[in-house]
Amino acid sequence: MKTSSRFLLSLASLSLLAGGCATLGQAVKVGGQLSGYHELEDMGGSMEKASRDFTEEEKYYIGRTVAATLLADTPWKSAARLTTYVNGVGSTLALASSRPEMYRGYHFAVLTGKDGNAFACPGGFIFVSAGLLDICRSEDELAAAMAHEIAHMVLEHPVQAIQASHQREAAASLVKFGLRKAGESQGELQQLTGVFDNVVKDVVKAVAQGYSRDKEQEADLLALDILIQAGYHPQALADLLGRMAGHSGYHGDPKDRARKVSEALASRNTPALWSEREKRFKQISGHI
Amino acid sequence: MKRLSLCCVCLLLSLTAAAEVRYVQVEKARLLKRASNFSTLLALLPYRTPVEVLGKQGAFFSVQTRQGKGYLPEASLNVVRPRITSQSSAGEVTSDEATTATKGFSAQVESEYRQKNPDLPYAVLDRLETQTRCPNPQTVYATFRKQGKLGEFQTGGERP
Repeated sequence: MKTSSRFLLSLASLSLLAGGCATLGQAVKVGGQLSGYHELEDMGGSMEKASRDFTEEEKYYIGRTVAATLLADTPWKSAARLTTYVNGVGSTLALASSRPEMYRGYHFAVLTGKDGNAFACPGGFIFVSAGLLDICRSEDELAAAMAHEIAHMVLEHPVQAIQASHQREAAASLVKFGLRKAGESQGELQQLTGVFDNVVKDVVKAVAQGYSRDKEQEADLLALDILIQAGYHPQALADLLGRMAGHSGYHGDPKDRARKVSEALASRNTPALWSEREKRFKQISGHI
Repeated sequence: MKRLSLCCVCLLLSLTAAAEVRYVQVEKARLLKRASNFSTLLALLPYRTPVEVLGKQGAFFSVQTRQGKGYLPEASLNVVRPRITSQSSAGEVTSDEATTATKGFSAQVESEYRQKNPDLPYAVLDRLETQTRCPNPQTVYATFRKQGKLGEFQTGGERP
C-alpha cells in the first residue's frame, strides 16, 4: 500500500469515529469516494462487502428466482381484477409497515394452490394461494395473512434462512468478484451463479416449509402492529389462525398461534370493522 | 508540513460532513411532505441519489434534496452509495460508473441462471412484475383505502 493510501485510510478511520459510519469499510469507502482515490474506495467496498448483508438489489434478484421457482410449482392466477385487489390490500399494509419500499416495490399475487398458504420472497414478492382466499371470510382476514408475510419480509426472515456456510461462501465470492468488471471472465460468472444457486435453494426451502416457531410468532406480533396501523381489525389474525387448524399448508401450530395473538391483543385499542371492505371482498371471492 | 496539516483538517471535515449524506437504495424512493407513508408525494428519487440528512423523526429522515426538503423512510436509505452492478439500469449512473460495473447477484447472474434452468417461468414472473409494479402506491391506491376506511382515511366504522 502506498504511503498516501495509508494516510487516507487513517483519515477515513478517523472519520468513522467522527462521522458515525457503521463500519470501517464504509468509512474507507466514503474516504475513497471523496478523495478520488478509487483504490481506496474499492478497498473500502471490499471490506464492507466482507461484513455486510446483501444489498437491496441483490435481495431483489434472489427473490425473483425464488418467486420463479414457486411459480414453476403453482401457477399464477392472473385475473386483472383479482391482482389489482390483492395489490390494494398489500400496498396498504406495506405502507403501514417499517419497510414501505423495496428495491423495485412490492408485488402481490394469487397462486392457484388449494392449500391455505402464503409466501414472502425477498425483494418484495408476496404470494397467497387461492386456497387461503377460500378460507378467509373477510378482507381483514386476508389482510391478516398478508400482514404476516410482510412481517417476515420486514424481519428479513427469508434472507436469514440462508445456511451460514452459504452466507460465508456468498460473502467471500462477493468480495472476490465484487471488484471485478462485469464482463471480465465467464468462469467467474459461472462460479458466482453456483453460489447464487445455493442461496436460492436455502430461501426456497424456508419460504415453502415455514420458519421456526419463534420466527412465526415474531411475524404474528409484528403483523398485529401493521394491521392496526393500516386500519384493519387485528382480531382477524386470531380468527383466521383459529380456523386454520384443520387445513394443510399453514405453518406452525395455528391454535397455539391464535391463542398468543389473542393474548397480545387483549390490551390493544383496535380499529373498527368496516362493512364496505366486506362487500368488496365478497365480490372478489365470488370470482375465485 | 503546514500545508499537509491543512489538507488533513479539510479532508477530515469533509469526511465528517459526509456522514450526514445518505443514498437511495431502492429504485424509486418516495420523497414525502410529512413523516408518514400516507403523506403527499413530492417527488420520486432514483436509485443511488445522495440526500442530505437534516434530522430524524420516527422511522423517517428529514432530508434536503435537489427537489427540495421532505421526508424519506429510513429503510429506503443507506449510508453507503450502492455499487453499480452489471446491467443495472436504475438510478444516477455516470458513463464512467457504467463502464466499471462489477459483478454481484445481478441481472447478469440471473441471466446465467436462467440459461441453466430453462424450465423456470421467468417470462410469467416478468409479466406478473409488470402488472403489479407500482412506484407510487399511496396515490394509485388512495381510492381503495378511502373506500375501505384504511390508512389516512380510518375514522372509526361500523360492525357489518
